[in-house]
Amino acid sequence: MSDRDGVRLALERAGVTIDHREILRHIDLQVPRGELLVILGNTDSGKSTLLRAIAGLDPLSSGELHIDGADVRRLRTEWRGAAMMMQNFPLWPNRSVSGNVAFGLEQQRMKRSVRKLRIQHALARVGMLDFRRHWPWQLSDSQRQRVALARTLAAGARLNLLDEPFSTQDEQHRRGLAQMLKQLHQDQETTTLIAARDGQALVPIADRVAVLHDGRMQQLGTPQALYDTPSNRVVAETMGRANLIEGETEHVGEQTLFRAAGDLVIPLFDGALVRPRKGTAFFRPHDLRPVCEEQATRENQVCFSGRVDHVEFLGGVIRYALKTGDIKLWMDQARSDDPQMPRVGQQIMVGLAPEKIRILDA
Amino acid sequence: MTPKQPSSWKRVSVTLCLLGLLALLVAWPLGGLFWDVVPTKHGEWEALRRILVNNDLQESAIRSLLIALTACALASILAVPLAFAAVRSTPLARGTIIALGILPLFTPPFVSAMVFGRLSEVLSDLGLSMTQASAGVFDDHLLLILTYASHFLPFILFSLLIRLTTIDRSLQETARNLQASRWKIWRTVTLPQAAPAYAFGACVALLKMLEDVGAPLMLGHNDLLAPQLLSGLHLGSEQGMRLAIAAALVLFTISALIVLLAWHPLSRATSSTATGKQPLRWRRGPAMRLVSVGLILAVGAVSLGPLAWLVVLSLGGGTSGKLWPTLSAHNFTAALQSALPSLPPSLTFAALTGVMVMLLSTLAAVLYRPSTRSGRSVRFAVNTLFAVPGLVLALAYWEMIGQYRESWPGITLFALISVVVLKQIPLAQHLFNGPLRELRNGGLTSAANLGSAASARSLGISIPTLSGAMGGAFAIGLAAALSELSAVLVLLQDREIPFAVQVYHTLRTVGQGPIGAALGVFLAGLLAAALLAVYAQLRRPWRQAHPVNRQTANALAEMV
Repeated sequence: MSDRDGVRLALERAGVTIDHREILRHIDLQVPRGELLVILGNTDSGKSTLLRAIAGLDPLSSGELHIDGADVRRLRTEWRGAAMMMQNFPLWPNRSVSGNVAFGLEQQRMKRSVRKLRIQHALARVGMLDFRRHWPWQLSDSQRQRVALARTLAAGARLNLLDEPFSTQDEQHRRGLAQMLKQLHQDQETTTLIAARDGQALVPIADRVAVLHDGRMQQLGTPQALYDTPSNRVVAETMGRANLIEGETEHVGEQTLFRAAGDLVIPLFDGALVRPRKGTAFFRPHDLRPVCEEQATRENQVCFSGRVDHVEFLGGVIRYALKTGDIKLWMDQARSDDPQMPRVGQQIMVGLAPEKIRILDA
Repeated sequence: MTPKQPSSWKRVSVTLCLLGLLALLVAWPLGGLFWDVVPTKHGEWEALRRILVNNDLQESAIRSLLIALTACALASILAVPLAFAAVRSTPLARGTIIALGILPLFTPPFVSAMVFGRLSEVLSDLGLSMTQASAGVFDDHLLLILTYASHFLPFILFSLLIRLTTIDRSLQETARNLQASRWKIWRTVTLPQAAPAYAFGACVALLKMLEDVGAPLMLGHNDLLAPQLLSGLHLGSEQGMRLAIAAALVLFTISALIVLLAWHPLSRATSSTATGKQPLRWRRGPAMRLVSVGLILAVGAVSLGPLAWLVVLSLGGGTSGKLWPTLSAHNFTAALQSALPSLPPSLTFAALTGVMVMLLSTLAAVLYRPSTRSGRSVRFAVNTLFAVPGLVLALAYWEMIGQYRESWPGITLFALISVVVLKQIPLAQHLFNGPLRELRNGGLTSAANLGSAASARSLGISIPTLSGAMGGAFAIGLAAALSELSAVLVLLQDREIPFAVQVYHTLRTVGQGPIGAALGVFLAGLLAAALLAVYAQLRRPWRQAHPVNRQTANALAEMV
């Protein structure tokens, strides 16, 4: 792998086995310099292990790992130039908040005055400047996590690895910290990998998103690509609420149909043609619209008739849960003052354009 | 942050009872002992001054302190690298180190001293004098230093090992990620975490060395502080008693100063930050492996050597300057016959002590709450017991119960049990730190939130969780009572009960050496059983819960 390609981090068919258990398998990943990559996945999907392997805390059992073009598999952690924030955000109990943040800077042998300034900046960014003289045991979990984040970012490493950096933060702090992270990332031109279970605050600031499941990379791409065209139902569900209907495709004359449980038949757009017979029909809640029968016929829409089971208030959007036989569908509608908005228990017809439906592997 | 909590009246009243009991059993006798030497007339001041500035006493104090410090340093030279090697080595190597490390505790110091003494005699006859090796720096105290260093090595080793295994591995990993060198990580992360544990082990060892009389007497060193106290008492005269009290005052002052200097590590429960993961292990090169093997061999020699030599002595070897004259198991039969009558009362005394240690240490541990004043008072009172040498407390009891000894013989046994129990409580209460932390970190609150009644919480959660530590405390009391010599020599003097005194007297009787050694083997067996019981108890219920528990339990179990 050449450094001239502008690739900061490259993993090729990387695998990690711990205690005879294969945690990661065949991971291929290239992260260009200056990219902010968010790695999403459920618990035990291998996100933390991936970051630990890159940092050198867990050895690769197979594959290759390059940082700035250099093979770092045999390089010690402390020489890899990757600063990692651990999931449990440990702070050294014998050092104050300032002392903790100073640790990474102490390695760089910078002047005390410069160091002090950088500590103050780092703490100010995460809103912890007023706590700089406190001790770790005097802080709440949320505060400790922000100090750990400041400590990692203050080190100014070429590669930042953040494992669940906002897990204990409230929604307001999450958004603020995410914006700060994006800004800092742009200013410092570092490369950042963030592992998280919930990508709500992180996906908006990501350049690319990777989804891990069961130790395998499911899909890697821009947030929009993963949201609109997920490769499988894991990715579809990870990227947000999805309507997923199990069934199988069949050809009737020249038309392709998707037959789901309860005799629900969905005519498919040509672009949705797929190889497997069994599969999952996928579309997003915002693709569904309330329609009348005439409009549906006129616009050649796929229609579902169902009863409004419950309603979720999401601020600017109202999310409806519809029961169509055994199938549950989600529909997002922009909030309005229209008195005709569906109500709970009401029988309504909803439709979507056939090209919005994708058939995913079963 | 720990919020301040109000104390319930029940808790406060139990706390007051415990504090009252400690005042009654410790402060009163000690106050009475030292009050007696407070002069009331001009002439008495002069007499006290003469005793305190007595050159012999001053020299004894300095000599005792120097010997204890040297032995402590010597034990540390082996124990500290051993603990670091154990925590980073394979489970098999760690198990070997732990198994070897616990062996010195199987023999009381006076038995170890006898073993070293006989070994030195044999080596002298072979032309290899051990005392000459000290190049005259410690005259002939080298054997005593070696005895103490080998016997108290486990205190430092296990105290440090527990802490090292419960340091959160991610603290070190984070430092590595921030480009810190190994040296920097050791200096800034590991050392600050481990230093209090080392200080704890070293201070406890130091205090126990200072108050020990068995080993110096066995090696014929009457010029130390503790033996001087005993010989002053045994003089039987008023002058002798004054000397004993003066020695007690100096010993108490030195102990109190040590406790004062090491108050933080002695009094505070080290907070476990363990995440359940194995401690950080560096990549081990051939040099590291070689060092580990060397350390295991060294601890093997220090631990197994004296025990093996004790067995050889009990078989009749090592006598008359010859290594193997005639080995015979006959000594064991003779020893068993002489030991049998004293065993039942000794075991009863040990069991009583164990029960008392268990009850009082449980009470002290449960009452301790850092957020309440009453809780802190209990911990403070219990930890101040570290500063009271058992020998001094025994002397205080001897003085206090003087006139009742004849009319009520049972009071001496009560005094003896009190001394042994009170000396074990500060150590035993540390066994409860782990389980209590788990209980208070949510176990009890969750049960209360689920509507469980107080009695059900006690029966279903608290007692099962604490049972391992309670069993451990019982076994610690049992082991302490079986090996106690200092307090027994003060309070019971020439009696053959408990068992340790019988072993001591037999070993000091001319011509009875092999039988004494065989009795020493029996005593080692009893102590081994008691200490293994502590280990087994600590591995019981609450270790099953989750990895953090299991690791802390293992660490605690390793301590004993």
